[in-house]
Amino acid sequence: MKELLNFRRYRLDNGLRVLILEDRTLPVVSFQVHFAAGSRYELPGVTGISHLFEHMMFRGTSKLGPEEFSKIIQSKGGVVNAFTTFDHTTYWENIPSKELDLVVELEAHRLKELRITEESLATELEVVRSERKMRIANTPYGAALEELFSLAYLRHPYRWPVIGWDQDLRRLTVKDCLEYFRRRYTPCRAVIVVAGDVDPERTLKLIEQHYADLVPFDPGEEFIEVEPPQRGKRTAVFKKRVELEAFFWAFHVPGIESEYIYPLILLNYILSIGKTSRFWKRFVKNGSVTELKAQIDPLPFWPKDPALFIIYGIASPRVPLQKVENEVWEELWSLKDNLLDDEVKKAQRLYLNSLWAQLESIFFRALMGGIYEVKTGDFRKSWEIEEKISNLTKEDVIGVIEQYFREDNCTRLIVEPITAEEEERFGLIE
Amino acid sequence: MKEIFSGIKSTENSSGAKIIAIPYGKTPRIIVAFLIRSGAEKDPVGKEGLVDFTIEALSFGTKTRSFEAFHEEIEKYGVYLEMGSMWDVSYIVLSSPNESFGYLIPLYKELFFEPAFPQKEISEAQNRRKAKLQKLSDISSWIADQLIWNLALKGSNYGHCRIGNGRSIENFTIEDFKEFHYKYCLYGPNTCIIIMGKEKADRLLDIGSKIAEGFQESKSSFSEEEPFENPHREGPKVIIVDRPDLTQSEIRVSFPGISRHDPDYYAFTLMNYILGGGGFSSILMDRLRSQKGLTYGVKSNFYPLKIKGPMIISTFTPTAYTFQTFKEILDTIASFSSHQNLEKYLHEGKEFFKGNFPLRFETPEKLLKEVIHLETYKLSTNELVLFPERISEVSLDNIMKLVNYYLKLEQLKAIIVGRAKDFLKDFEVFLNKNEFIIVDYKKAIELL
Repeated sequence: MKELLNFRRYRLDNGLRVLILEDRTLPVVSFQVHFAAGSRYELPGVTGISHLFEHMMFRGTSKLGPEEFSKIIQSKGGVVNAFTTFDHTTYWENIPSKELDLVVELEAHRLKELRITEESLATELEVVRSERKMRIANTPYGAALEELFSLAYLRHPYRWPVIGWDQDLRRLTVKDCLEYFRRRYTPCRAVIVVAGDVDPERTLKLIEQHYADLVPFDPGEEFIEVEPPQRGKRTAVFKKRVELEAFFWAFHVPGIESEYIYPLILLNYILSIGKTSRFWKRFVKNGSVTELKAQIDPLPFWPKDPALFIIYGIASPRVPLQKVENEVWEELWSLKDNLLDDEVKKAQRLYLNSLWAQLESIFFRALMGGIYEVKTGDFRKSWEIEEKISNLTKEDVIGVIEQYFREDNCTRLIVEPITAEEEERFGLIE
Repeated sequence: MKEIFSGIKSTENSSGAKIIAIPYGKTPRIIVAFLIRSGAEKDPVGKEGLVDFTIEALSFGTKTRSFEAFHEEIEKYGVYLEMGSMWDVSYIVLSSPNESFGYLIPLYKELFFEPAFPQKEISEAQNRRKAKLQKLSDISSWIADQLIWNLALKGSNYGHCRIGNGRSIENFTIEDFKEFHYKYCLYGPNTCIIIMGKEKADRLLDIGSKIAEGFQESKSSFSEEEPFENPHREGPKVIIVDRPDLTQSEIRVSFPGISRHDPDYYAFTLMNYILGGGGFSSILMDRLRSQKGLTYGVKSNFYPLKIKGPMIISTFTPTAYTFQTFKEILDTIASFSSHQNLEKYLHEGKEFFKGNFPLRFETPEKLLKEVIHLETYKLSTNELVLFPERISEVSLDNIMKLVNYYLKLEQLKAIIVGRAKDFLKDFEVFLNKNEFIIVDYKKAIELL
């Protein structure tokens, strides 16, 4: 794994970190800029600004019109996009290697010469509200998941969605955006990654040429609300016009830097990955549920701060949900007594085979390096994954079950189907 | 990049099955893909979804292993199994760690050549699929996708839901599965085995040939039937599907398209890129998102099949903008030929496809997808290798001819799924009474 993620690491005088990985297999490069700018750093009332700002980065500069940035990259054969998570915002371009100079120049240019106007903000706000409806309001269980996070976190910023609350989005102003940009898009909070068909020395010089003059802003110490330990089970009901009822359980688990994430990854596989996983064999195969999954964010997307391990089930038309919930709980805890060494080995092999498939891509390798660096301060922690996973035993997995899958640490949300008339009375989800 | 293609070796065994070896990859894995050049277009009427279900059913157990025993055996070695059917092809892809590959070969042969189709497993899978369809029916974008496809291809072997519907699934029998397997999977000339990995081509070819030995026992024979294609696009122009709880409408607009063997394939690829396939470099995205902020995304896709597949424009928009968005799409199409910057769009499109070419082979999985496409439509490797050159040869005249022939507003079909009472009046003013119908969401599901 180290061989595939063996980045050269540099730091410019203004604090900007640079990771470069040489791989000459194909004449392509993945160029990425990761900022420590996600919803984790937002405050109530301005939720969604990290993600909205990601959109504004494409809305023009002193010399580029709206979306012209993307058009130029595409016209050179590149693919360009960006995404925002709880912890970071990532801008990326996968391009023919001969276009690297252009991409570096354009990326640096938009940091220095970004233009945000009332008009461009108004247009983009509507776009983001449409995106929110697509992801949340118009999906069967999207709004319920939002509520689950709000119930599970009382203080920490993970309690609101990355895309933000609709009412906050409607209030965001140009001033909010500019202040956010000043505070978060500073070189010491950014990591540039270049992976692929590149000469590392030349690439570093190129980045210095365009980024060394960025003025650092000292953000000072940051205060992020810490989530207090959950002191008892929380339960809620969410009524919505859906075809099938569903349950969601969320358990607080540690953040990406904890040793415990590895047995939790294996537990995820043991429970719900593959046709021989516990959930598939006992519940999905015979149709007791339509869907039953354990879900965590895969590496490197696992959150920086304590995260949620979610188990959810979508009912089958034929089996009462409560019965399924009782049995799923029983299955989860039975692992303490009947988990087999072979199940752990199988989970290890499945996970590693899946990881290898992802590591074929220079885009993914650049993400791995950049996101680890921006979240943990050291991309080399990604080298440990294979060994940490391979060395786990049955006892490690049982240990995390006992530690985290307690009722007191659980938030439970039930989605209860209602009629169209009842839905109308509740009003539309925005 | 040339080395990738020059390293590929292929052979054909005595049954007519093709074996392709691709020495490619950085990690210790071997990928085996079984390809059957028959897909959901072979679904019999009343048994829609049969082909996709049959392919899944190959993994329900073999003559010597139960469902559980088979999956335990492959998963304990970390194997990922992916299977299903597209319209013109079915596939089974197994990704295995290199170290255990030797042991897995007999298991892969069992899976493909000796399926048992046990009744218990079939019944359970039928229930799972019905539940899956019920879950999917809750997703308005999925319903819109299915309905536009059905509307666009009505009267052909393709105008149905590829994974079936609540009624058709009940009609499957074990005899149906056996027949499809015998007729299409075991017939050498209709199949191909692709094997990829960080290994020498000769070794991969040798492994592939051992796997393909199973074809020699087959006595199956079939004659290639041409898919049926009905060129008449009858019925209403627009179907409005009413679902009052939605805050955003799903919009789909379709036009006739081309088959994969059409000489205009490259020009069509560019026309689609300019219209809506090119993201921010497309005129639809420019108008609907960048200028008007009506949607998060709009795209066009075309589906070149054995028959002329449709071109489909897809977007979504807050309920209040439903009619405006629909009208903007129509106006964009109507003014396509007179767009001021078409030369520039065409140039940028060509540059995109040329520059982006190597990214299409970045991983073994991506390269596999390309090879599957070539094999499905029996195209030569040159079709892929010469893609950038053929794209370069397309002229603006070529594009104009296609726009004028295919994108005629009188040929359009559309699906709107949303809160009808908030936008219906606008459509009533815009369309003649016989051009559209309104259907309740539940009723629309039954149309599938």
